[in-house]
Amino acid sequence: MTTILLHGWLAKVFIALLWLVALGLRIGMLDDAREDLLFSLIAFSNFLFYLMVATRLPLLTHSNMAVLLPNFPNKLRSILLKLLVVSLLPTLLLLPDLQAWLAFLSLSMVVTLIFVAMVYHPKYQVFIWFFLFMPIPLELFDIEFDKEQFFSALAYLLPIISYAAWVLLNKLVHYRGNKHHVSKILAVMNVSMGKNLAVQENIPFANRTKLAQWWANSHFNYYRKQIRHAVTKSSELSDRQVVAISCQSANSFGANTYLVWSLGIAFICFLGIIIDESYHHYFTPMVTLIPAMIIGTGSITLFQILQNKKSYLARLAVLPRFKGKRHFAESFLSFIFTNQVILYVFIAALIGISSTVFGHISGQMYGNILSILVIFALVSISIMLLALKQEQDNSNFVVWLLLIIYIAGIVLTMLITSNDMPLIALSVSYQIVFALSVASIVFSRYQYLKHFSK
Amino acid sequence: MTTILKINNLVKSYKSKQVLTGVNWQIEQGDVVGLLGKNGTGKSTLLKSLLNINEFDSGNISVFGEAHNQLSAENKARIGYVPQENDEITWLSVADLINFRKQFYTQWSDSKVSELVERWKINLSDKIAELSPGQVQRVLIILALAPMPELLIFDEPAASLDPAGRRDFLKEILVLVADENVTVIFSTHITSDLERVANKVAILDKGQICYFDDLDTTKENVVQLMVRSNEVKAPEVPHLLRAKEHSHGLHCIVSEVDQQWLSAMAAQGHEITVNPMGLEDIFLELTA
Repeated sequence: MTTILLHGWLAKVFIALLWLVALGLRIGMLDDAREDLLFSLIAFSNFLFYLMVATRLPLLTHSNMAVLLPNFPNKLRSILLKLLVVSLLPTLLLLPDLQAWLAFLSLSMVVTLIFVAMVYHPKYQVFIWFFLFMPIPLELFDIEFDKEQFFSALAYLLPIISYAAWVLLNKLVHYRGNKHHVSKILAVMNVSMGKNLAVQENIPFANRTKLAQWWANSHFNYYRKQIRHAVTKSSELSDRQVVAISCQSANSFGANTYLVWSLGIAFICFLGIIIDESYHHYFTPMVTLIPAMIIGTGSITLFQILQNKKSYLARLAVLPRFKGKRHFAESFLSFIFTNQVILYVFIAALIGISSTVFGHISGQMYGNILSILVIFALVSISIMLLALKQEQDNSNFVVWLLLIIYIAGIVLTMLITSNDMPLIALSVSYQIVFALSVASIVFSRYQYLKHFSK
Repeated sequence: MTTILKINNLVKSYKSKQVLTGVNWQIEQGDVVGLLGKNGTGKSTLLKSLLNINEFDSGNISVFGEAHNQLSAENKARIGYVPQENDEITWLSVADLINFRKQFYTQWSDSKVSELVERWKINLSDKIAELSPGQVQRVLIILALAPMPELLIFDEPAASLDPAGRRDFLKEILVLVADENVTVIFSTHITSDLERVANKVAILDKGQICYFDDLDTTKENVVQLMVRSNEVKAPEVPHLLRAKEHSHGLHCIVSEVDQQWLSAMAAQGHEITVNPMGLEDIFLELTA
């Protein structure tokens, strides 16, 4: 059971690495200045651990094993308790600050309960939005966030939270409900990180929500029209168009997605223009988060989709339309570059427009964000191309790598913007990194084409 | 007879595992070849390699007299392929998918498409995702046949169909093959399917084509010899395909019975029984 809950070495290594970094930070910590960083690091690693275990729980609770194995609930309960105890070991690094430690224990249990609830019942996913937009009501109703008070409350609430967690744990080990939703979670969690999108793609269309069906259809209609237009006009689709049609999926970042995000940002900017400037900072978390979310879905998701379509694309590449595989590869590269350039230009425009309206970042910061964005784009596309040229499927590793680069990019952006650094593009170190990134994309493009020139 | 396909010493590995260990194979025009092999023996790998979908380690393949990876557009259009799994664009309707695929060919028979759509009662407005496995298989066949190919390659065409659907499907292949002078290669591990359609049988085992001959000749000639004598050794048996030693003698599979040798053995007092075999037995014996 433990193996199922902790399946996947990449996630485990990543979490263990974060714990080691926390240990190193604790050992090297001479004053309290880095206490917050230590707290955040342990919180991030532990929450990731809880999320990993929570998403895999249905593999046990909703398996045949749960019915057939004698004493299954007791065994599952004891394993979950053991995992909780192991995960709490790194929190000892927070000592001797007893209050922070007790607060962390409470927080861990609350977060775990929320994760589990979200996995078993989609309605609890509203918690994500609750946390995302929490700063707004705090600001709106002028609620002072006092960290000390918050920690003290959490520490004193520990007995109640522990009791609630114990009661819910006892319910969970017997829980077999909401099979429809859990079967979707199971389908996704049965596979590696690199494959989960492929599984989502295979969920029958009729089993998706009406909104999801409408959304996917509105995206696909754009491409259906292209085909019908070519038929009625007796014209030919371009090479890039046929590749683009072949590469679309229900999770693609398409014209409708751009339209909705544009309308959303336009609406937020409209609010920003008509309301008093003193309220602008309420919108800062939102306008900061949206571009980060778009980059994540527009770049990593694209890789997963292409990886999923690899065998189909390989089949199309040998059809008479293309002179050879290299000809197809050129059209494929043209599609990827166009797709990604549109995405990053859109992001740049989005950040530019929102910063003009809300003034949450200076021109210098904007320049720095764009500089990081360019590096991220070049590096992530290079990785994608090198992975896509391989015959073997390394998608699990690649998706993790892209995720780590993505998180690193966000952390770097936060560091640079919080310190209001001068334009990094003018620094020699940035220019070296930029040159290396350009070299990496030139190299990966060359390698990709060379591979298909054989 | 024109040679349509020629494979020389084809080797293909996945990581450290060699799947194809030196395939040599030649197919003539008009052949309907059933490629038999157990699951995981590399049937799909072989078919994808000859179509240039897969890469391979060494060897060479020629199709219509041209290197398989340098085929002209005309020769590419002469090949139709139906894959084992449906990886087509499921969000397109049948009509849209047909029109989309048409974009990849210079030669496309709309009348052939209409004829097959009508014959198989396929609703053009249905999305691929909404079709049954049998209907999807038929759409894939339409896509493969519309450019009027001369070489048709089916990878486990009936694997996803129930027995009735499989029978119908095979009947359709027979009709198609009778209508056109096409060469067909289809992989399967169901020997009864092969017996219904093919005129030649090839068996892929341990990374090689270990047997390739006419189906009728195979069923007629390939027999099991039970040699009840420890003095007769396997290398002495003419046309030997496979031999297994037992305490009381030899079990041999031969591609042809050498009557002269049989008589000679009988004269020397060795007891040899000839047992005819069905295709399934032949397949199982040769791949055991």
